[in-house]
Amino acid sequence: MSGLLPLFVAGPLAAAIVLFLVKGRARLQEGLSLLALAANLALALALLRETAGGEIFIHRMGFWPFPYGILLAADRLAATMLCLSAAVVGASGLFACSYLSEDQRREVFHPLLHFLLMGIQGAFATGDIFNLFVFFEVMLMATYALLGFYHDLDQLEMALKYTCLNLIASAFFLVGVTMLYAQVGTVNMADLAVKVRAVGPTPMMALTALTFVSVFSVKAAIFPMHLWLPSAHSLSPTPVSAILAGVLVKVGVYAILRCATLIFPAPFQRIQTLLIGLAVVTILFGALGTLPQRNLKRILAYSTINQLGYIVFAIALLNPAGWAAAVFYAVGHAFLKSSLLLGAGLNQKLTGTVDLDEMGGLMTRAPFSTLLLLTGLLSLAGIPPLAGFFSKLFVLQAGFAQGAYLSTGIVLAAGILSLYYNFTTYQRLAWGTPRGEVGGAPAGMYASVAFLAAFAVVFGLGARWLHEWAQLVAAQLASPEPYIAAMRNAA
Amino acid sequence: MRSLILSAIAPIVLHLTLVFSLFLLLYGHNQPGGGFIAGLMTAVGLVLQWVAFDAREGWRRFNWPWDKIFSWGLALAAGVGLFGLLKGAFLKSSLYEFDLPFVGRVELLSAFLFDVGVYMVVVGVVMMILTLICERRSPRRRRQ
Repeated sequence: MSGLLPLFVAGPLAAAIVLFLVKGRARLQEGLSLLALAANLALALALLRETAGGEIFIHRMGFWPFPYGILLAADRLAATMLCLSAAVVGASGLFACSYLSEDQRREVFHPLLHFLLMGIQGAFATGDIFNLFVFFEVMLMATYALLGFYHDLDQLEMALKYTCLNLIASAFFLVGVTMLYAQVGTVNMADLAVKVRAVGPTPMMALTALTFVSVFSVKAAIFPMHLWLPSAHSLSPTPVSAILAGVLVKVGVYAILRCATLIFPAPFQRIQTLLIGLAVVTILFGALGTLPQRNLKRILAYSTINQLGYIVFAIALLNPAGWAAAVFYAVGHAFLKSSLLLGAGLNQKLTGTVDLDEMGGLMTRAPFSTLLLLTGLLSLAGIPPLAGFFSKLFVLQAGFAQGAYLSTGIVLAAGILSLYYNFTTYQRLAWGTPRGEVGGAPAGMYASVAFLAAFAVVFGLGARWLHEWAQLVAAQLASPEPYIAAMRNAA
Repeated sequence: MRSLILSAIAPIVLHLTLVFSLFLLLYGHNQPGGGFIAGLMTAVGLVLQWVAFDAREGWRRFNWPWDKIFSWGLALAAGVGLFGLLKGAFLKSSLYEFDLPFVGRVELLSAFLFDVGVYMVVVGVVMMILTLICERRSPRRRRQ
């Protein structure tokens, strides 16, 4: 399996190149793209199966010796995230085939999608913090192009803002790596883990950790870095929004989790209070932000901010129960939010609008798509037995067990807001007087939404399995010694 | 505005930059240099033609399929990486030596082919960006 790790990077890269070369032939391009996405998903599932026993796979790029060369590493967490990105990007690719117009299909959407996948999977698989920066850039460059895909002025304005913000964040990422390198003289994550521990939680190290957290919180849309998210997620092409909300923000979450568990466990203790405070404010901001919105995609975007607050809150508890809750939440939310955003795109195809005031009575006129949306919204609101309920439950359990009564109490109370906005959204969409015409949509769109929405039910009814898996992931994160040893002794 | 001096010098400079960029490319894998800066150097030489003449004249002279060059370059670089994977590790470099008549012993590193790929990508991308900037296309405003 170690030998196959580079395929998570090289596979999408090769696919992107081939797809770029067959540009202009829409059907061929889409067929090849779906084939590559399916192969990628199969590979990710195989990796997940192999890592279940706790084995850690390492691939040394170019056979360079340990602290100097770039390593690809896959433990349970990385395998989980790889599966998640493969599934969500795969479903979005399928959705895009029937969502884009004839002209747009002849452009380079699918090559860009595979470049994006390469960046995402590289970020999950790498064991080197500078290489993480490189994959962040790959991912962002593909995102910049995909965000401006329709070439209209609103979109370009949004894409420009996103680009500027992320360029600043990237500069700070480099500053962070430099600060780290100046103190310990390495960029390999395992080597960093050992040397940072030797230095101890000095104020300088805490500042370095904070720099990384602020960089990653731009990706993960944590207050006060969340302002780009609503317009980016609502104005981008729907398949891209689904990937942004489902996977891209999780890259930020993943990086924070790696920092908290592997690289900076001690410095994170110093900034824990700050992190918890920011997470709680993020939860409240996201929930309150949904209230005045009329645009369905914008409501979902604010709710993404709301949900990310929960995940970071769970990470910031800095104990294995919290990390397990964060992994459960991240997996559940990835499927849930991408299914909802694709559902909004399906709805847009049917009704021609994303404005809730122009919809109404859809339950009787487009029952199947509305039911898919309802599943997602109920889960998002935290209604048992769907995945969203258990996500919140485990976070709250971890919080109360930790004794963080005040912050967990606020988080619990904020759940009422999410109940409220999800129900009013559904009410405005599905009930009331019918408005506008309802057309038809291709089966591929229904299939991709249903595939993702099914996980809200599966992870809800089968919450025990996912939670057991999340606990295994957290256990591996809590004792990083085998991970470090595996990297050190990689053949 | 077209400057006589610049338009007389630009083609000569192009040749110099091309030779120098080739030198950087060949020199790159063990010494300072390499595909990236060689590609930039070539692109600078080409961009100078656009500045000296104008976009239309520039395209008339260098109307090459830049997007194809870019994608084949990327394919070459990725191919070298995958070739390394066959020999054990992704991006593993291999060294081949052989004798050429009149030249003597020649060392060929697979990293050199990677550099050539990078070179093609850089030149291709810069020229593609130039195409997009030179095109006059005004964005539409469309509310969702």
